Amino acid sequence: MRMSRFNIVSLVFGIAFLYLPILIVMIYSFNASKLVTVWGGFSTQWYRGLLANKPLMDATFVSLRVALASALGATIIGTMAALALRRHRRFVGRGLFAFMLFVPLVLPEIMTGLSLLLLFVALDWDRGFWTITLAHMAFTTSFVALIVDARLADLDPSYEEAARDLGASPLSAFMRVTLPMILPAIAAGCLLAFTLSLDDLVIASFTSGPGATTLPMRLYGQMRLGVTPEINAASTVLIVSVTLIVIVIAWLTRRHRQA
Amino acid sequence: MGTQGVTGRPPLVSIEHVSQSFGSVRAVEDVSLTICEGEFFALLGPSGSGKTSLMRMIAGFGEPDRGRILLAGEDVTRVPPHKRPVNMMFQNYALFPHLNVFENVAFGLREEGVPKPERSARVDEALRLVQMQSYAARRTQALSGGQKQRVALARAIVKRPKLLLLDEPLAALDRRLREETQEELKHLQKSLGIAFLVVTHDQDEAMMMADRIAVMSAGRVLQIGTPADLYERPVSRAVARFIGDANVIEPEIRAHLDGRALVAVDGTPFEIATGSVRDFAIGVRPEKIRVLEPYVSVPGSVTLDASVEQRLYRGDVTELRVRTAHHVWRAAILNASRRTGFMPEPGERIRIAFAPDDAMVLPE
Repeated sequence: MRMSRFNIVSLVFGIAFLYLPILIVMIYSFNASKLVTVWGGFSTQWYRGLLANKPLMDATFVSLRVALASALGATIIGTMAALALRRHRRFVGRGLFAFMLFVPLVLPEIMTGLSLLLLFVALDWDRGFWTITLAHMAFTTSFVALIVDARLADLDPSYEEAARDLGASPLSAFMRVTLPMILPAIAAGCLLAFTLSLDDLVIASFTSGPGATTLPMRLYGQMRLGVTPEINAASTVLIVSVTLIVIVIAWLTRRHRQA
Repeated sequence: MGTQGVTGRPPLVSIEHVSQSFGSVRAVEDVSLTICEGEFFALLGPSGSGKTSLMRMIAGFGEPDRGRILLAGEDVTRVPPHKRPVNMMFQNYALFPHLNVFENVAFGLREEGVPKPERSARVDEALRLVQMQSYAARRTQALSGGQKQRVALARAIVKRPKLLLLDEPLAALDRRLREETQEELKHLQKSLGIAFLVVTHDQDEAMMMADRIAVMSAGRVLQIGTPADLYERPVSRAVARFIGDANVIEPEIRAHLDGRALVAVDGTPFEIATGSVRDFAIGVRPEKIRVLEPYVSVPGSVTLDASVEQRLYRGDVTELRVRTAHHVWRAAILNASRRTGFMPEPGERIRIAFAPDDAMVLPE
């Protein structure tokens, strides 16, 4: 079908509104000039500068570790929660459990961050790597549970029954039939948790301590001293990695729909 | 009601007074029946009649609220599904999409711990039995409906169960393939010697394949018998209507005498054998009704004046809807006899006749 002129115009404006700022950041990351707003020719010096910027590299490393650890934790807990919700249609407090599991999806980040900070202070825990990781797990678990739950909802129970009928114990039926069938959804959930953790600034700011600064926190800190092309370069790296992960998630979730 | 099996064969499954409810819905109510070794048994009934719930209880999915299920003399009522010597072919086949054809069929043998060389020999044999041996390496998504059905069948028989459960095995196939598959299933069952229990809502399917059929309705078994028993001697109005077509008529019962009754339909009296039954309807199959020109009478038959309301050509037969004084009847005329026989037009005055012996007594 041919698109009307109106639709083409709305599409172009919509896309431009969403992606033009990001595109500008990416273009200026290749700027040879030190001035952020003046184009001085093509250069990759800021990317080389990134590698030499030790605080920034340390922060990247912290972010990756936090994202990896929290994504793994969230995947395990979120998958288990989704399984419990789907398998046992009736248990005391099921409705409340389902509600409480999905509330963090809509809770303002600043609330999550503040409440976790108060908790860690009350427990008198030193804030650092582990508190950020726990905080990230707390909000990304909901996303994993949501994705896995959606997959389980359209998984025909007769597959697992067929496995049981063919002599598989409940555990074996789960490991050999259910788990392989929901694995793409679990992987998608895990990657989503990873990206959410990598992106997060607000919750990490509340729950981090000295010595554990994540990449978004470091970038934000540097920007307050002035935007340098180096920040553009770091942002570009972050955007490109997150985009790649999102593409993989889309591919995984589209694939499991066909099964 | 007969719970005893076919004579000469030992019982394999005994279902004893089994009931099951889901919340306030009573799915199965006090069902007792016996399936014999090597028997082809069908549970026949409309959806919601409890036939699937009963089959699932035999497989181990869902426990009865009351009653017992015995398998080869052993009480399996509370045995989990993976420990029962029973396999099931699911209605949607439930082939594992992440495994290929060979791996699907080998699944049960692997769970059982059958060593690899024997496993692959048995999988090959099962695939050969269903003529799918050349598809072993295929992905299951790439198969047609009929091929999936064969793979599901191979997967269910490869463990050599004592009883194979088939849940609407032909429902997903188109008509031509269904008829072919009916014959193949019957043939496979005889050559394997495994007892088959088929759940179906299709009476033709049950009649063609099964040695015995249990007709179910609203969670209860109405009648158990061979296809001929059910067709020729239904015990109730419901069975007479469900198995084949029947004109079910409430006659005027005038007198009982020595196991016979004097009844009248539209004022025409006749005698039929009723045994000890006192209250009953009669059922007459459409093909047992003779369609006659007016004023013709047949000695020894019940003859009624009628008019033709509708005529339906159905290929092998022509079906007439005719009205007598108080009843509407269906009569079937074999089209093979058309050239010689009488074929009235709608609106025409005719007579219908049936032998009193062809009137089935329906007590329930």
